[in-house]
Amino acid sequence: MRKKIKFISMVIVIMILLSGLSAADFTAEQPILITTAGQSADILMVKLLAKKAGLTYTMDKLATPESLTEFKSIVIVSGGSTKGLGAAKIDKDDEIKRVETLISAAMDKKIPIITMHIGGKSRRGSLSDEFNSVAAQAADCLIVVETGDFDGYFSAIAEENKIPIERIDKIISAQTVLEAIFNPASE
Amino acid sequence: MKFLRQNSLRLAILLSVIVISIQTGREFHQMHIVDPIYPNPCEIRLLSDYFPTLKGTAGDTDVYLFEGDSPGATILILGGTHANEPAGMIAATCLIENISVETGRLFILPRANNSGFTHNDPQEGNPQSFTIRTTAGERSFRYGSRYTNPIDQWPDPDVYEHFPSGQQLSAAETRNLNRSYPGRPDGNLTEQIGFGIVQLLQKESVDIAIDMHEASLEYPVINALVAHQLAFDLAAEAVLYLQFNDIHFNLEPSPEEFRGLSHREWGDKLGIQALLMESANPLQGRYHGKVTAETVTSGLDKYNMEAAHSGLIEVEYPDTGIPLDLRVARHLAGLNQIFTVWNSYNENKINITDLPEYDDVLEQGIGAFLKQPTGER
Repeated sequence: MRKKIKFISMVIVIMILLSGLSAADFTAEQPILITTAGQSADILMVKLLAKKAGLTYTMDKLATPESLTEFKSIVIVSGGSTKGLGAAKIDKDDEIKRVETLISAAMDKKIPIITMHIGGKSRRGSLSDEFNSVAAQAADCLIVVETGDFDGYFSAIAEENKIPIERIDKIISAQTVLEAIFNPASE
Repeated sequence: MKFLRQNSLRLAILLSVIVISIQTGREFHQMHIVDPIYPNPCEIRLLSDYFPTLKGTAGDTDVYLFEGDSPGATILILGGTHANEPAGMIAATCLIENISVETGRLFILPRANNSGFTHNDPQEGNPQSFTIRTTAGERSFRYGSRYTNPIDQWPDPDVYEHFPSGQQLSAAETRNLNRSYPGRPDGNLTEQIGFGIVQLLQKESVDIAIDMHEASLEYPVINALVAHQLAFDLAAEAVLYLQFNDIHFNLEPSPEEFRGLSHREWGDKLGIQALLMESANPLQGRYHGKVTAETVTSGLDKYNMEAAHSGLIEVEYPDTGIPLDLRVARHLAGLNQIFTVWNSYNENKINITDLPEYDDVLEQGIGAFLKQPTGER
């Protein structure tokens, strides 16, 4: 009997946790600042999805606390790119500092942060994970392409910080998730 | 007679050296024989038509023009910028032998650096050619070098200084076509080839230019679509839809400070949408073992396999390898998707028929899309 109660309790706890982990109930407001952590060009795909979703956004790959003027949400697209860092003329350490400073300012202003990881497995690894860690740990909501969470990296962060996570199989599915977050009434 | 007896050993060695020199010289000379391509109906021009200084040099190369009945977009596709990255050259050959263009114009250079196909890298032990089985027999293709043949451009300077930026690179890069752009008319042969290609782009008012490459498994920019900032939207949407079809490309920006690259200089100088595709070639880089004609097509390399198990490479390396069929299929799928996205936003379209599909190339092999060695259609 005790075993049964233990098992049922565990199932209930898991169900509560799972329901809490979905991004379905998470909402945020526009206008949105879209920036990157790691300077990967994945930000261009997120910009495209935001455009297709009809959202009001500004893309700024090198956003700083001074950029946080009228924005009501921040989307951070995480994942490192050596070519991207080179193109932006910024090194890894300065990029991490920039993102940390931006996150800190956003938290002070209580601007919600949505971290998106859409580059899959190729935006994981030693370089990318330094950025992924900073951006995901600060997130109020995570949107992650499943292949990038192959080892449960993002799921574990979501569980640890008790934040919602939306795991999607294709990048293009992120458009629907963004619509649901920013235009809940249209759903 | 006494002389012969006393010097028999020396003479035997001398004779052996002469025989070996003649044989290797003959083999080396054979690399100058250009592999035939059996095109679908199209116009064949030369790069020297755009820059006459190249005429009669090893830098001159065939330019295949497919023109539709209706006007539309103008596209340039390069294969063989680096002759040791066969997927680009084979994908270009495959296009030339299969497609028709209904709307717009498509220029294809399958051997962008023709001189690179006339030799291969010293001390690497690479094969001079590899074969692909077609429905009617085997076809041989040259396996060349990343660089212009030093016979055609020699000596290398101590340091390569890119024109006009002054950027300095290692000496051999002076013979790398993809460090030569925008080139110059009075430069070395590689710079002249680069200049010729830029003349073509300019004269034909090209809208999109795509350079097809391969990269080593340890290189971070791999299985990638590299885009000049003018082509960001086009590239982003193409990558998005490719991923939707389970073909994963990394989207990478063209670095603004790294000069001489096709995607950087074409975009900056001419304002065109410039892109570069990289497939994953297990026979490049520093981990691979012996390169043979078989491994060029199979993409199987045991040392890269070990590197993969040790987490030292940037892509998944399955036990089945990364065969040439897959690498060519990726290039073709990338091109197809770029054209589709372009057509959905532009009035001047490019409509191509009979471009081999990704799944069909994987299922039937690239040989099914290459013409018979006899050239029969």
